[in-house]
Amino acid sequence: MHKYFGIVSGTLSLYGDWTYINISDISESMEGYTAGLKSLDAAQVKNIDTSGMILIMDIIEHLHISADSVKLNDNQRNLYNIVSKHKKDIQLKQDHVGFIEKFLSNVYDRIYELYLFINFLGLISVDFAGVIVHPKKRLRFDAVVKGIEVMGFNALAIIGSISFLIGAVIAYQGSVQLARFGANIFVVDLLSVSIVRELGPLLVAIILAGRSASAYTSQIGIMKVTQEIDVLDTMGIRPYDILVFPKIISLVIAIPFLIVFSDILGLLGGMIVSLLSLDVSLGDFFRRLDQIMTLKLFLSGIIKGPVFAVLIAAIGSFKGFRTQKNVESIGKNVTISVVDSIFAVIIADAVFSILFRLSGV
Amino acid sequence: MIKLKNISTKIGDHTIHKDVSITISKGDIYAILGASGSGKTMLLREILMLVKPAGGTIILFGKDIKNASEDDKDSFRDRWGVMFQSASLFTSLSVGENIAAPILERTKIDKKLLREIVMFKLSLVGLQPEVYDMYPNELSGGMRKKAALARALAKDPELLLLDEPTSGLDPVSAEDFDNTIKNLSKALNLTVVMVTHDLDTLFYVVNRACILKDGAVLSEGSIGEISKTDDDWAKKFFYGERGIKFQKWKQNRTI
Repeated sequence: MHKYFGIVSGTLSLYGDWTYINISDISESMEGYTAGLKSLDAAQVKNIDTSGMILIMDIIEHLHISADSVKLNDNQRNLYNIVSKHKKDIQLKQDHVGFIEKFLSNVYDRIYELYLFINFLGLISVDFAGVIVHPKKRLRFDAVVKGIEVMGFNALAIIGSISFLIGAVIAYQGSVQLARFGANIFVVDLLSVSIVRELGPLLVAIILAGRSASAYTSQIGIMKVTQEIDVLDTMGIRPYDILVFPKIISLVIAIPFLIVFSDILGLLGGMIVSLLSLDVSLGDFFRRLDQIMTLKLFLSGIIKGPVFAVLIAAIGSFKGFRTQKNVESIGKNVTISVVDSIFAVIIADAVFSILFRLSGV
Repeated sequence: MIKLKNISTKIGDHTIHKDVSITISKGDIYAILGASGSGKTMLLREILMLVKPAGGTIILFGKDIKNASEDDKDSFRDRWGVMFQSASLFTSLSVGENIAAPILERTKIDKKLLREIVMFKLSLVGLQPEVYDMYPNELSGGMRKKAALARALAKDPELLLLDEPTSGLDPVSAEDFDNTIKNLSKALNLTVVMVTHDLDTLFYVVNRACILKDGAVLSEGSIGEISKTDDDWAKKFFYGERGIKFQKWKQNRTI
């Protein structure tokens, strides 16, 4: 005897609850009971739902029991009629994707994505010419100012504190080596070259990639999901005018200031460590700084900023427009937009290094 | 099955319900009527335990939800199926996965049988088998609604709560839907609570209803009873242009 069925002289009688919650138990315990069953009696079943009825019909079919020898009560007969009207035979299709196929298709997707991004850059460049020709009509000045505040001014605290700490760490690490040669004062060279030329711009760009690119992608992505972008289009407002250009312009304006701020705070951090652990007095520090801090060195850091800003804002917006209409895609695209913009910034930085080297800066 | 006693609801300073008491018994197909903004959906959300009313008692399946333990509440949630106005399918899952989700959350079922069950639910609400592997963003609004209904029916609930189920459906699908609800409620002993404006559904499927106005229940009872409600909105609803046209047409049809 079993909880859900019993076999008496060729009749399979069912009882208990044949509801969806028990189905896996039932179908597991049914396995092996196949031979010689002629009829089925379900009238004793206490509770049954459509899932249970589907299972019963599967059993009937599997055991080749004729419809006449199935005993159901009125309620079950009703249910039987509903289920049989809608029940279909299912063939499970197998789709197995191999590792190499998956890998190659991912690589292809990424390359195609790059192609689309270059396409997008071209599109906004051409469109931007229109903004320059009709600035009054198409340039959203308020949005630019708002962007400078949110993505520039509001980022000062985090950029300042990180730059300060990095400056301090560099000076501290350098101090151990420099002190061995008695070359304490050269900590200023170390700081000014590494921070002003490389780390300042890079830190700012990485923080903007994390703060701004993600915000841009999720904003545009959600607007796409809720069809707000289509609404803008039908109103005769060019979506790029509102969603892309203000972002790029505000970031391009804000980033040089952020880099200068980061340079100052980084040097300040280094200066305090030099004073405390290398005994470089403030006077010595500034005199040495004055000697090596050329305009060339200063500008070589600043000039990277706008390029980074365009990359970050363009990738953030592009990924937003690439969002599919589902929630998971937003999360995925935000992640990719941050990763890609950091990646793009580092590649651009490497290109700048080569260019500076070739031009002898 | 559901009993609401003296429910009051406030959002900030804004009073939505002053004193709402309704009773829904087993086997009812019950409609909550009222003008836009009269708090119909809010009432539904309170029954669903998504919003706590400011005052009053809600009794679900014979138990006051204030005294219900988390386990009790979970068992309530197993016994009802819900469909929201905007369908609210999980956008990252295919339609088939959407419908299977509530079942798989409770039990494990062999793949083939599960697929059969899901296919049956799809067919039950009038969707083609091809929809199984499609994603919600590939469906039209009406199809999304049907898929959401299929998901609500996944666990064969005894109580079905629907927020404007037929809005956005074409008339043929809406009639299919009405028939589905009617047949299912008979076969599965289903109790249905819905917020609706659809006169077709109201006259053809619903057997009891209430009208909400100004935070209170104007009247409750069979359609015949509440259509006699002495109120401007109710009169316009039942005897305005659309209501009259509909009743005339319905008389002709039954003759």
